Amino acid sequence: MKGLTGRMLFASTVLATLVAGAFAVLILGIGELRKDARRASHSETVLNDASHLEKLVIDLETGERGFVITAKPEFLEPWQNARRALLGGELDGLERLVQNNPAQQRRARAISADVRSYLSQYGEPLVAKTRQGRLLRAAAIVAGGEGRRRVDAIRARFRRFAAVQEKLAAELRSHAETEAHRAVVMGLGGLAGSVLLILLFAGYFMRLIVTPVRRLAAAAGRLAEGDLSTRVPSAGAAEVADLSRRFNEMAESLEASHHELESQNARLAAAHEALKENSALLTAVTEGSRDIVTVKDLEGRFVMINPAGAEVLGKPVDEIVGKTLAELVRAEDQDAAQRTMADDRRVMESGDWSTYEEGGGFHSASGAYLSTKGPYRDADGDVIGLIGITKDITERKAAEEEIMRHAGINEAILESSADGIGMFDLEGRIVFANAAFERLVSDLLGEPAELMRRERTMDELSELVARRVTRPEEYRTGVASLIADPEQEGTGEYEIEESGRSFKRASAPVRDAEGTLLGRIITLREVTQERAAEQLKSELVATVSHELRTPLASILGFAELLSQREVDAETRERYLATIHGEAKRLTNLVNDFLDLQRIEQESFTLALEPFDIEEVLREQLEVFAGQSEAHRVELDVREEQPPLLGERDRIAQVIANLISNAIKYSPEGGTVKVAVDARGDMVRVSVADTGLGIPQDQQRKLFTKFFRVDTSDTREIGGTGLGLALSREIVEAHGGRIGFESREGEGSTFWFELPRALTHNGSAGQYVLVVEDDRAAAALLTEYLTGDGYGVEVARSGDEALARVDQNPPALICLDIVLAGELDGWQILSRLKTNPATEHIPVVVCTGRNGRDQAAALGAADFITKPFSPERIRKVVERLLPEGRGSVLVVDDDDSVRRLVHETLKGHCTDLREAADGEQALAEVARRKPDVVVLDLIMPGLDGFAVLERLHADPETRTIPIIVLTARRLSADERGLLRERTVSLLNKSAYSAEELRRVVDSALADAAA
Amino acid sequence: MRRKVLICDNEETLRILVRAALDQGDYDLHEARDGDESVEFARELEPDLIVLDMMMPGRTGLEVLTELRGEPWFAETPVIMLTARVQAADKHAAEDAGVNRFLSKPFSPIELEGIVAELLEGER
Repeated sequence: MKGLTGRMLFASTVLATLVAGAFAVLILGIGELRKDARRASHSETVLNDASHLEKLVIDLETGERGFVITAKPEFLEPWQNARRALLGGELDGLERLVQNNPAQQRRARAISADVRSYLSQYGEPLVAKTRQGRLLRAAAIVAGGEGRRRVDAIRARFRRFAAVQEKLAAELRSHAETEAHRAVVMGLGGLAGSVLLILLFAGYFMRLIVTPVRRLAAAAGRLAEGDLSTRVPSAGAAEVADLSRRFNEMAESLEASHHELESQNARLAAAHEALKENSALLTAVTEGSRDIVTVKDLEGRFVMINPAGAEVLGKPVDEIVGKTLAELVRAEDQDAAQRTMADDRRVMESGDWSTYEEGGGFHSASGAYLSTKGPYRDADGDVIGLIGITKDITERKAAEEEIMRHAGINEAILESSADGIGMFDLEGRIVFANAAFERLVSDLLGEPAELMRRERTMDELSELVARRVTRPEEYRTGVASLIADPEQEGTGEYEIEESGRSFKRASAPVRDAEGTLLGRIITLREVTQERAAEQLKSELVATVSHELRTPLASILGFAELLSQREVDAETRERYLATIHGEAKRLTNLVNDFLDLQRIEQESFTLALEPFDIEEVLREQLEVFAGQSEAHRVELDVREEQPPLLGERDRIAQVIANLISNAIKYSPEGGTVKVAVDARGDMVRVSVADTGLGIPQDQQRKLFTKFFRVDTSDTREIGGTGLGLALSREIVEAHGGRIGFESREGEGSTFWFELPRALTHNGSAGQYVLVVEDDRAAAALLTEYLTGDGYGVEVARSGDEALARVDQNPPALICLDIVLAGELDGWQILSRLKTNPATEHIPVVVCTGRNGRDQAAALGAADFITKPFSPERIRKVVERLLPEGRGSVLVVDDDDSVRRLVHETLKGHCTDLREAADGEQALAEVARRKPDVVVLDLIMPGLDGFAVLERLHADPETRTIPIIVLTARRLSADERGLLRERTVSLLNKSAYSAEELRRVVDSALADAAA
Repeated sequence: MRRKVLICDNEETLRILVRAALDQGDYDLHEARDGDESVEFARELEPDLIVLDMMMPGRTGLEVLTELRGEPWFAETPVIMLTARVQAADKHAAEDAGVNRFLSKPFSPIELEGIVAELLEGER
């Protein structure tokens, strides 16, 4: 019963029992009272009833008497009523009322009996007699008083009955009073007991609950006042104790929280201070920042902008705030501004920080900006705007682009390098390889490059290479030392056994700018040719050395013998002859060798001129006829040969060499036959002997320097071993060929072919006469003009020139002023122009001197100053030689088509030019108007139709015949247009070479007409 | 008995020179004009000394030497290599093949005579 609930339950039960008891007593008392009251009321009823009956009885008697006396029926009515009531139940009713009281019942029964007997014995007979009119009798009876007595007796009986009943009622009243008193006493007693008990309980509970609660309240008050150390004793009833404990806990927790709060407050205060400082700092920073700091609202209007931003926008801060970017920038920056604002919106929608690169958009024309943007949030974290920090990266961007450009260049350089460049990291993995590297490694491995890319390490790659090189151990050692020491630099060279190809490998460590080792660069270069060349060179050196030392050995050896020993005159003569012969041989050797060296050098130029081959052959034959009487040398010239183009003396040297060899290698008495015949554009000179022939296995090396046919013939053949090599160089420098046919033991035929001197269009007379005494200048001019398709003749002196003109008048004369011989250029010009037969021939003065006016005065058509360009010559000559030319411009973006057309038309026109697109075509036409244009329709940029339009639009070019060569399917409109503007339309996929030539020829003919 | 010397060279003037150099000594001189002749004549003559040119048509001097050294009666025969090839590699190749002396052209005929005499002296 420690708990408050239990105690209260107990107290309530006790209290309730007590109250219930009191009430029970009270109710019992009241019940008794009510019973008494009921009895009293019953007695009253009985008394009233009895009184009523008594009155009825009186009424009976009175009625009777009245009736009898008066005989009036009115008096009989009460009697009748009373009689009816009495006999109808009233009498029985009284009896019934007192049936609980036997004594009274007896009395009631007696009354009833008396009344009944009264009626039956007295009243009724009386009434009946009266009615019968026997009034007197009746009156007598009445007067006899009989009735009165009887009634009095009945009334007496009633009085007694009433008295008893009265007495009973008094008894009942007295009892009820007692009962009521008792009930009041008991009720009051119960009430008093209950009140007392309640007070007791109240007191008890007061002590049990209220006190501790009040204590708690006081404590809470103290707590509220800030005394957080307040605690209450936790004694008392369980709940109260619990409450106290909880209170204490709460107080403790409160105290702890308070302490926490206090420390937080302290921090907050500090933070607040810091914040105040920061705010000032922020202002200072944004004000001073060179980056643009902006805050915008949700609509993109500036809320804040720092001076750097205002400067970029070119407006004061207060003009910017409240406006959007679009409202602030120039019309041309609207697009950029809109983009920026779209970015802003995106950031505000997403709520994330993002960085954007923005171009322009501000008032500076071509700036690049880097903006970092993020949402501006209020205290609740809702986005209310945008914070932006924008950096001007114009310069950085430019620098980046520059770097990218450099990187691009670097990469292009690396990729275009013929050397293979590869880089391996420190683990030996390949991290970079240019195309050449992949190709070379693939060659080294004998595998496709793709296999190399498969994460192969340097180790693996080098092992694969090692298996294929001629000296694998040396290779492995080299690679191993490179792998072992990443810092090592080194080169290596190795040869692939199978293919004989040589590779050079250079390797060095790669470091970054800080010097940190990144890996190793390997540079690969195929040196097969270099090695072969070196090999050749060292063999050549050895051979030259041998070739020089051999005659030197004889010269020095014999000279020594002559000086050291006594020899007879004959011997001395022999020795001296040998010395002389060997010295001469040495001289020839040196000459030939130097000659050959000169020809092999690229600077070597030939003085080309047309010459008569037959004349040269005859000269050489004479020389050899005199030298070797033991051999017959015959010349076979079947028909007159056209002039050849070349350097006469060099060709003579070749012929001499071939004849000399033929004589050397054929037995005495043998015949050497020299022949000339034409072979197409070439002229072939052949030298046949009946000599030893050349063994099959040695034929291949025949034109190699210092090669001598190795014969079992013991005869000393001599010679430098350079003759054929030299001959080949000379012939090939002329654009010719050299070769031989030979059978061992039967003899050999050596031949060479040279191109004929070109003549213009094959028509005699249509040529340009170059009057020039300087061979080089003449050759140059000849080359230019023949290259353009003109026939050229060269005259070296004024006399020669005039003779040529007289003989075969040229179409044009290029005249040098300074000439060897009697006549100078001016004199020639003057003679040509004063001679009616030659005055029409245009003369171009080509000179290094001044004299334009003099040239014009003497009637020269043009004046060119040396040095001149091929274009200058071409232009002048073209202007002066209008007829017979045919200039065709081929316009097509497809290189192969242009080449094909070029090949097809070669020879059908003097001048073929090409253009790869419409622009080029128009440029070419503007540069020099062509006679015919062959035009493709589909080209990048300006297409064929556009070119047609442009050419048609210009009166200068409108008349140029145009041949359209196209693969395009044409619409009816296009066909119509082309029919108007062109002369011919050829289908690219269906035309024949013949057709194209025919069309071009006819167009050229039209153009000329 | 006169000592036999075989002179092998394809250059006639050289053979004449060597012959002239050795003329004064008491030697029986023979000439071969190419590699094949050199081997052939050597086997035939069994010379006491060979003067061998390195560059000859057919078999080279080196090939001749190697072949002869492979035969027992030429194992000890003194051979003087005369050559216009003066590179170290050529000299080494000649020494490897078993040459006794190596003279590069141009050479001194007097010196050659001395060497021949010395080598033949050592033979005795």
